[in-house]
Amino acid sequence: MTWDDVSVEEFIELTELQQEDLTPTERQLESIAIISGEDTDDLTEVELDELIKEYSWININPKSDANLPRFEKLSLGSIISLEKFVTEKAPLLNMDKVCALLYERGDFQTDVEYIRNQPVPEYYKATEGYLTYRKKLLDNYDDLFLNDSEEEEEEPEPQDTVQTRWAWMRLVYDLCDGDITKANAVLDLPHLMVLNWLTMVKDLKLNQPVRSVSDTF
Amino acid sequence: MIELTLNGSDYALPNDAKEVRLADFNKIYKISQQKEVGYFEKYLKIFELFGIPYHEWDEVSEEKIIELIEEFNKVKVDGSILCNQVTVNDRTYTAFDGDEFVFKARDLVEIERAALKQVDNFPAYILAILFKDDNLTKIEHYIESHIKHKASLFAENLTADIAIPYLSLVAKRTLKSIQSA
Repeated sequence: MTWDDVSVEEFIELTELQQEDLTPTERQLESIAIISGEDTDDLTEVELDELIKEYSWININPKSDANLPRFEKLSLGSIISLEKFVTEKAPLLNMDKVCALLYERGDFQTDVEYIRNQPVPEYYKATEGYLTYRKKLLDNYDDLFLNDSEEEEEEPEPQDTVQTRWAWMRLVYDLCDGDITKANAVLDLPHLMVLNWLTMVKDLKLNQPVRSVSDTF
Repeated sequence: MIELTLNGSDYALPNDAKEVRLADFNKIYKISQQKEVGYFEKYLKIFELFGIPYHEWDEVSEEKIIELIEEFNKVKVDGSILCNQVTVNDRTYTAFDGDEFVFKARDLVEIERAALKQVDNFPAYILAILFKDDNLTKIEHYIESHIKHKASLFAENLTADIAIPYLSLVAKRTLKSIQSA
């Protein structure tokens, strides 16, 4: 047996085990029970040791040769939805939802159900790959998420949770000029186009009012 | 028994595990696990359990204490002999059938839990996990309150020679788990 025999749903269950208050042997027993479907209640020490050896591969992360999704093609709306799923709890616990957005096929719920039953390696790679992409994205465009007063300080105060939570939607609000009827059109735009646009606006100060005609020339 | 006289008073220390009640052995085990207590102090605390007041050692030389500790540590117990059945208050409790004892995975989980919680009466608790009442179901056996009650019963009625070999096996198993982690 290998990771190819483990579904995304089973992998999420295994990840949930890491958060539970279990003894080391209990965690091993529960992990083996999830993957093998075997009843581990009556195992002897010898049988347990054999199974631990047989399933020692679960201590190594899944690997896949599959190509990564094209993260740069994601819409702004997908990025905002992904942000919710990678921050509300440990990202791997939402692997099904994250990958449903990364591999968007149609209906979100249908995609989630489909992915939960698929072998985990490709989707593990996609989730980890997205987290790496996300980190670079946030690093490259971090000044878009600071408000003006924080830019002027050498060491900005940590953003309060309200500001952080709404940072992405704040971008949408600015692009719509507060007109919610335009929100869908903005959310469908490629996220990189939006972020580059906003960076340009900020760098060239295009959103600041002109004080006099002479300022223009 | 090791007999000794300190400052005119006679005392006796057990040197056979069969002479030590499990309740006292629980306390000895707990003292031995205290990391913040030094080597000599541990033994003086243990000796205090057997009726030798702490102050009796004030005038005793270091050599004599060391000699006594060495004598005390030659405690007679055959660690290879595992008792497989005990009877307490007319009820029979069995640790294993057949010739050889093997841990059950479920028992290892319970022992780990007890170790992590640092239960006060660890040796008796281990026996309570391993020795099962012949009249109870598996579910009933693993109820925490049942194990706790049985540990108290064993502490009052059994002796250390039954616990020590099992404690030794638990230690070996723990070492094996750490090495394979």
